[in-house]
Amino acid sequence: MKVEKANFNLQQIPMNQSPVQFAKPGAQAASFTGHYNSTDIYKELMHYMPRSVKLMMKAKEWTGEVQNIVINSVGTGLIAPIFIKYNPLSKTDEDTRTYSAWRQPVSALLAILTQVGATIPFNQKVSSMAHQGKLGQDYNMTPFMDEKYLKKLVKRQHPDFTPAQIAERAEQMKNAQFEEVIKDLKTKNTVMFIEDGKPNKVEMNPKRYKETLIKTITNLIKEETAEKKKSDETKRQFRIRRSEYYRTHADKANAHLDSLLEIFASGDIEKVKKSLASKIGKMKSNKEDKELILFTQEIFKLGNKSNDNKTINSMRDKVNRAKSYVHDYSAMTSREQVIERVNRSIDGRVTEIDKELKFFEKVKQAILEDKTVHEIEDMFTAEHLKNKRLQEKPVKFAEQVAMQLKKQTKSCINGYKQVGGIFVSLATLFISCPLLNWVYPKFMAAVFPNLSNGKHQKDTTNLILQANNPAEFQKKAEVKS
Amino acid sequence: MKISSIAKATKPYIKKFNNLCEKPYRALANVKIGKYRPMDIVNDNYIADNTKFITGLGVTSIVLKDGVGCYMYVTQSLNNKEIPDDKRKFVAALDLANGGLMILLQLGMFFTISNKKVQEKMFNALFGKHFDRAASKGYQAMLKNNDLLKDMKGSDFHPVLNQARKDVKAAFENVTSLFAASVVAKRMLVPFIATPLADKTKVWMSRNDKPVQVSKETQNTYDTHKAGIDKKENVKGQSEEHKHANLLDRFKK
Repeated sequence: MKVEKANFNLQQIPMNQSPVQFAKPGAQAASFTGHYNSTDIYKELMHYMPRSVKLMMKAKEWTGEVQNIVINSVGTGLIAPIFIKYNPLSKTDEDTRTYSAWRQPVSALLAILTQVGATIPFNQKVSSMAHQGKLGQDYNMTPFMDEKYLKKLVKRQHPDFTPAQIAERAEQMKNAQFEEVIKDLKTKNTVMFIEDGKPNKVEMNPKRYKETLIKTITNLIKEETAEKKKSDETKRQFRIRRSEYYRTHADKANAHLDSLLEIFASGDIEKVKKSLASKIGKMKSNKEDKELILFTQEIFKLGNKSNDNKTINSMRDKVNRAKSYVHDYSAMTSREQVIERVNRSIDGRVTEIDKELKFFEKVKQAILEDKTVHEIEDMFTAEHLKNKRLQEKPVKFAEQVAMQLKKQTKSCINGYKQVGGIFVSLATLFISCPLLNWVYPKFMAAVFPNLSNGKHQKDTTNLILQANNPAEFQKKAEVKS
Repeated sequence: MKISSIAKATKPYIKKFNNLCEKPYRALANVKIGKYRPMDIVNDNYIADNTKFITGLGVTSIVLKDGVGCYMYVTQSLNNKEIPDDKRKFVAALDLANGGLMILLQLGMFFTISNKKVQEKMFNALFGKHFDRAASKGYQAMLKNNDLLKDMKGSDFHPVLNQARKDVKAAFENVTSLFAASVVAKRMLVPFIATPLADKTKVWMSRNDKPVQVSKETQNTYDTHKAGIDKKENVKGQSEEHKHANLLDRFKK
């Protein structure tokens, strides 16, 4: 990525200060909820995810033209030759099929070299232009410069910095930028952009700004609607089923829960995991109650990826909670009583979500009526006192807007790279196709001479020499050996 | 002349050249067809994280390249004197059959695999267990072991897990659709059908040709129908004249 020396007008970052002097940024990374930073939770969560999930996350990062080319080339280079050469349906002779099959890996290699070779610099140029505000506001990354770009910027301005100092300063700049966006949202009711590397910032297009605010609140509505649906359908059914089991099989459930508590007594997570795994296996082979097997699996999964003995406490807590549920539900006399109690609990939650959704609709209306972000934040503060759900999960609207805009801009850049990448790789075809036609026969002549004219010509020359002048042929052969 | 003064003198030209290079980039971002900007459609779908559109764009890219590539490969193979005469038409025919089938099968495969129901089933079968209720409780408990997250509530955790599921699902849909189109359809099914189809295409392409003399150097010696002994008989059956044309036989004599 090319880094412009030009003025990025990061007035809040005194560039001539050392990172040590600037070590009190006070700028915290944004939080969706105000409780915990969702980015931190996300990163931590990924540590515990299995390899297959991590692999998919990597694939998500790489979505774009380069990924398309690589997947396509894997198929071309590794799979296609097998299906061409060993095709029982083809009547063409094997030599010709082999000759054609070898065209595929050669073609794949050239595609990677030419297409990826052209797409990567294209993507880098797009990122660089987006970070200088040269592609228009949809792609303007100047308020949200990424760490990679900021590191290069710091390195250019402070060649004496160590990598750790560069990383620290880049992190500070990133946080300060984000804080500035939030400040602008609250005080100026807009987002300021650098355009074309010019020092004077310009305001965000008002139409686009309003759309971003609406998109932010719409996302919150979507999230809460999904939560409501989950509580209303999945959770309700699950809790009725399990509670009813506890009511009707109290003794069996209690005995099973006690046996689980005994397993935890060892205090060693590895032993606990082993014992739970073998218990699940035995329960399955004995065809024990499905509900108990499911519960044991849930307990096992609590510690499945952990090597920390503290996890046993979470397992024990869950079992003890289940024991109290068994105690409560076993006192009930009918299924109706169970349903009533579960409904009461779920309905309470659904009502809170409904209240919150109503408030979000009010906010949406306020945005349509051109209320400022500051005024909307005041609405949230006032509602916070009345709404239990908002107390549980506070919303900082300006932060949400900033996060939304950053996500939106990144998405637009990805779209741009994909479309541009199509043109770039189409253009490279005019190089890769003639190149393939030039390389392929030469490659075949060098590596598989029996299949091409080259070796035969050489063989023929040798045979003529051998037939006409055996002494010279012998001499040549000796020199060769 | 000092290097710094050369740099100073060339600076405006470098800037001009840079601006010239950036023109197509700016043009793509701002190009309009009538009142509409095509990139707005792309932006809207990328902002909405419309996986079907994003994957569709990927497949379109591959299909477009195949179309252009097919045309170029066929014309160039036909004119490539370095490919033996007797194999040239077959290579070109294989390219043509490949190209046509590739485009059709890739689109067919993409629409099948990227179907919402198919995706949901595949995703649940492969990744469902990592995001179910039990797994969710497990991750939450493990995260709480971290001192920095010990007071984390379900309301903090669940949106993050949902986002992770969404991200993994989007990546899965993209990778499986691309794999199905560009590996299964294009590289497994197409060659299987295209190779025999190429035999027919070759015949069609050669319908007006004079008989081509098969190059002795590359004449195929492999016969899938007859055993080695039959081949020997064939050699014996060759005319005397033909035998003498073979230098190796002449030398052996």
